[in-house]
Amino acid sequence: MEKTDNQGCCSEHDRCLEILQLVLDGEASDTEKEYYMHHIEECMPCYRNYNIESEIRNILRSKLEKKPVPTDLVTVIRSKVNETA
Amino acid sequence: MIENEDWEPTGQNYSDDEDRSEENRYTNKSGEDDDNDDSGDTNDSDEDQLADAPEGEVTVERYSERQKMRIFDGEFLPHIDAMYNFAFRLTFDEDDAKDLVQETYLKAFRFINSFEEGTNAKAWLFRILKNSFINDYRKKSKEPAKVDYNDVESYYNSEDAQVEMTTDLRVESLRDMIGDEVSNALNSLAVDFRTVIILCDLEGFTYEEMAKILDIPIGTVRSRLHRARNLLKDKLRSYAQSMGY
Ligand SMILES: [Zn+2]
Repeated sequence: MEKTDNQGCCSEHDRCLEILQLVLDGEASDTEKEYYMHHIEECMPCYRNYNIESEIRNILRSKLEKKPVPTDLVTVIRSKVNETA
Repeated sequence: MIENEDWEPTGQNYSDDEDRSEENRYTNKSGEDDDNDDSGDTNDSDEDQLADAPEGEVTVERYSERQKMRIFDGEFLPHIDAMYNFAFRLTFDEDDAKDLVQETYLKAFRFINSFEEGTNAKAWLFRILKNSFINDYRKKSKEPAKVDYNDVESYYNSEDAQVEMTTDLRVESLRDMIGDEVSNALNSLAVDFRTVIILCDLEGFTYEEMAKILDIPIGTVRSRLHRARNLLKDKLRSYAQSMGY
């Protein structure tokens, strides 16, 4: 199952890391996406990377608490804008 | 704009030379109108709106007072939540964040004629906020003025950093983390690295939008993001280790 896993790194590791960022950021071309998705089916290090990197994005989106906007902020801004308008 | 040099994290010690020269090309342009001659990476239809810096002079009265209020209420104010959270993650202070957002909105209103109704208001506002932060808040914040080069260097000079990281950090460890740990890891990054992660991962801006918000070429967005993620991963890994995940 880990046939390409030598020294924890595949032969195209750098290129893979680069494409991985593009794939996860939604910036990869169809060709790049296809290449990557196919590649991780047979490359264990890249498959692991893919899972880690996408999980990091997940936890950033799901675990970071949003700060509520102070209640008076909009009011203050609007009244200042009206002064200048 | 004036503060660009100070703000840029890049310096002699920066590891990626190609990247550095690119930055120079874009940030060392002189004069206040450097926003109007963008070229290369940042060309597209949104260019005019985002490139028109709120600092620039606007002479054309594009909108009536009523139209201005409609745009302000309809297109600007809906982003206040994202703006406030961005401001807070930059300043780490509720009052500063509030002031920064307020100042951004007042500037946006003052320069509303350089905004084209129906275009990317969020990116336009984020750009104003980022510039206000650099020019007005950076000086008094507790944030160190420069990237901690030791941090960056030691990471990039460590040959097996990549391998070590991918083997040590597990998906399960990440899932077990609590919000505070994720937040601390993000907040520990130098402001420029923190910023690209916020823009990309939390706010979902595209590389192209980020390039405009930050006034840097897309290539620099990519390399900065890549570095930021590696540093973040490093932090998360040490949290995971110290918590015994
Ligand atoms: Zn691979």
